[in-house]
Amino acid sequence: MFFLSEYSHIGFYALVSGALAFIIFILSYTISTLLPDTEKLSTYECGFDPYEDARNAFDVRFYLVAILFIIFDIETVFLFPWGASLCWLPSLGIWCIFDFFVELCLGFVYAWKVGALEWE
Amino acid sequence: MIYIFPEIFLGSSLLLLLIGGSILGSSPKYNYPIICFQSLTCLILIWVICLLQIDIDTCKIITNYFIVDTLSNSAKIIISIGLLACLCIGKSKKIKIFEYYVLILLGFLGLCFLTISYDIISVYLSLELITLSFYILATFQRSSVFSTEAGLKYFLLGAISSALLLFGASLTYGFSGTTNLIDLKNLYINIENQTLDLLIQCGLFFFCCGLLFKLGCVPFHNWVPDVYEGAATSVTAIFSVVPKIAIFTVLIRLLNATRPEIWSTLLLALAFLSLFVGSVYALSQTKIKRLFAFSGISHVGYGLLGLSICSLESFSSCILYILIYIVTALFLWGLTLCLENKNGITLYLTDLVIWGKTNLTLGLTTILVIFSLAGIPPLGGFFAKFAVFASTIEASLYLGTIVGLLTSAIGILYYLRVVKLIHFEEAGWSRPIPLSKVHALSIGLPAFFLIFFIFFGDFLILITTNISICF
Repeated sequence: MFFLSEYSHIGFYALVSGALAFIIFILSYTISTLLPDTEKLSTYECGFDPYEDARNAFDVRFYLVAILFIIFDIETVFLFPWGASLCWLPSLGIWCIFDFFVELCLGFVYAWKVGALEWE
Repeated sequence: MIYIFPEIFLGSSLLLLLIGGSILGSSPKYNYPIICFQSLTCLILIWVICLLQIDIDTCKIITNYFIVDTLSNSAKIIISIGLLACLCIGKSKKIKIFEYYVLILLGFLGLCFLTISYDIISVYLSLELITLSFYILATFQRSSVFSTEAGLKYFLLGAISSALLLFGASLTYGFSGTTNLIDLKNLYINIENQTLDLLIQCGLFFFCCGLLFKLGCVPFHNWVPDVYEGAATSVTAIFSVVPKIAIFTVLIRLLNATRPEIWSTLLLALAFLSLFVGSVYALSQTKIKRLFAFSGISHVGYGLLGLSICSLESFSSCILYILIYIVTALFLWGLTLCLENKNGITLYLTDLVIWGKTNLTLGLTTILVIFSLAGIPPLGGFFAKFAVFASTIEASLYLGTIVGLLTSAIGILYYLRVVKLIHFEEAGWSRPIPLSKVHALSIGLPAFFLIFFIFFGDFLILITTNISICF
């Protein structure tokens, strides 16, 4: 009974998110118009074939961009709960996220300056 | 807020160095400067700030996440001196990118936070800050196969240890409802439920395992020799000198927050294992860096032996031991770096012959320092070992003392092998290695400290006792 009362919200979320994912998956198959051709059906991953010999040289720059993307993605992940609970936070909690932003932006400036974003 | 001024200062100056370095370092106008000097200045300033803070009362900040007391301030001072010396001995023209210094300072920031952490979460976060920058430092020589291997090994094993740490933290939080060490301490006074007690202990055990992993204590020591060997020697010096005292600080805090008697058996067992494995494996090493790695493992064992008694004298003896080990390690790594600047990378023990033939003063000093490491009486290492064994005898742990002394005797065997190599081996044709002033100073001061320890040792013992009294 304890688990039911404490964890029922999480169970509800899990059910809804699973169902939603399933519905979207089904709908995208049934509703959309499908015009398959070889280029569309072939797997695509960062510009090279994912099923070739692992010992070939590959371009690291794709991964650099992906890592930078993930960092800024995580920033948004932090931002949402912060924004949702803003009215209960003390001043320390508010300034902490500003500090986080400043540091992240400086990191971005560094990546820019060092040339991690330059393709050629 | 003023109490974490060193960390705030370090953090903001780090950001400034990062931006300044990336702007200046990519501009041909200023001839691509490296910000080495600035980071050294930053370190010295931190050291001064910590010194000014030394007689602060114990105070807890940011909702009990951090604690500032004599222990943390002294640890910070020791760490900053150690790092400063490491940067001085490791300074060479080969380091071509400024990120090296920024990463070292980032690790230093993590160490500073680790010394003041008083919550499982803040311990974990500062450990991650340290290890993430250390992984990159280990792979610093990108073109070297050894270096990348070392970095990859360090990263994988470090990730496992972080997982252990987090698993322990989650167990502790799940069964006690708190991650804070003060709350845990209060909880432990009132706890009556045996099962709950056992489960919390289980969580803390895993947490402790993660910490010991970072320390390189025995069942978790596999990464130490490989990482030490593979990483650039200037980086290895930092790995072996700097983080130990901070992790010991956290262990002392953890032991104080929980009931110490549950830990003593575990720590004692690990200490003996470290002593034994460190001494025995070191016997068969032919490379200098691997030898130092195994000797470092056995010295961590002595520190843990001091820690496991959980009394006032034992904490102070543990801090003293680690302090003296740090000084000795500084000398030895400085010596190795001098050789490496001339020879290239792979260093065998036989390369040490050169000191005995070309620079007699340095050869004799090396012998004295190695005697001190082995624990021969009038030198510094003896007093450290004496303090540890005195505290074990005080706790009437006679068997433990005997085992410790025996492994110490095994240790002397390989130390004497190094001495024999330096002075009694036939050397081929060799040319003297010139020592720069900074190098000579940063080798000479530790040697001076160890050889003349007997004259100012009581002062240092007073300081370490003072640190351990503050609990």
